[in-house]
Amino acid sequence: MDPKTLQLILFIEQMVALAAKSVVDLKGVLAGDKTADEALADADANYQAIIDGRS
Amino acid sequence: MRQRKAVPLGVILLVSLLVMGASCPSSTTKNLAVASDAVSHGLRNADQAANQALASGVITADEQAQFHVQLVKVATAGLALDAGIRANESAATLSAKVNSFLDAFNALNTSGVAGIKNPNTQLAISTILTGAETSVAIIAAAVGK
Repeated sequence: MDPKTLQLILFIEQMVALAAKSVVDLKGVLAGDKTADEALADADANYQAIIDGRS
Repeated sequence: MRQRKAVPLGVILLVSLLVMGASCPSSTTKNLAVASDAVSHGLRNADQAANQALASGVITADEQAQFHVQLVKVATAGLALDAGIRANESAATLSAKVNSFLDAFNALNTSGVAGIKNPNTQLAISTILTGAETSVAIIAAAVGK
């Protein structure tokens, strides 16, 4: 397999893994038992990480 | 011209019923908090997808930067929305914050995604944002959008 094709496959694998992680995250948050304060604190931390370029 | 909200009507109706069915305000607050949390996770994963695409050389730094600008707008609106939820603001007061959040999210989901030219990256990001849309609909329904 040529390196370019291998690189493409690895990249697609990364994207699929991220999409799958997103579903797992979503399920975890929606099915979890966080209080409103805990959920808001987690949301704030994620929003701030995006703003700060720490994703 | 102002863009129409892109949240599917069926999702809004379903979620409206769920939110209106919540009889006590603290339950609505929790629904909104959890919805915001779910969206924030999706946004962060979308950000990571763009970052990985840049690192792999499949999108340009400009594409990643313009997508990140849109993400920051949603995240900033999300922080303001969270502050409103935390303060137990009424639906009427919260409405402006929800509108800003929805506008930013819809812009990200349309022009932001369209700015990513690599189809694999675009598909991954679209998939991630579609997952977050149900939670966005919960937020929209809280103020009757």
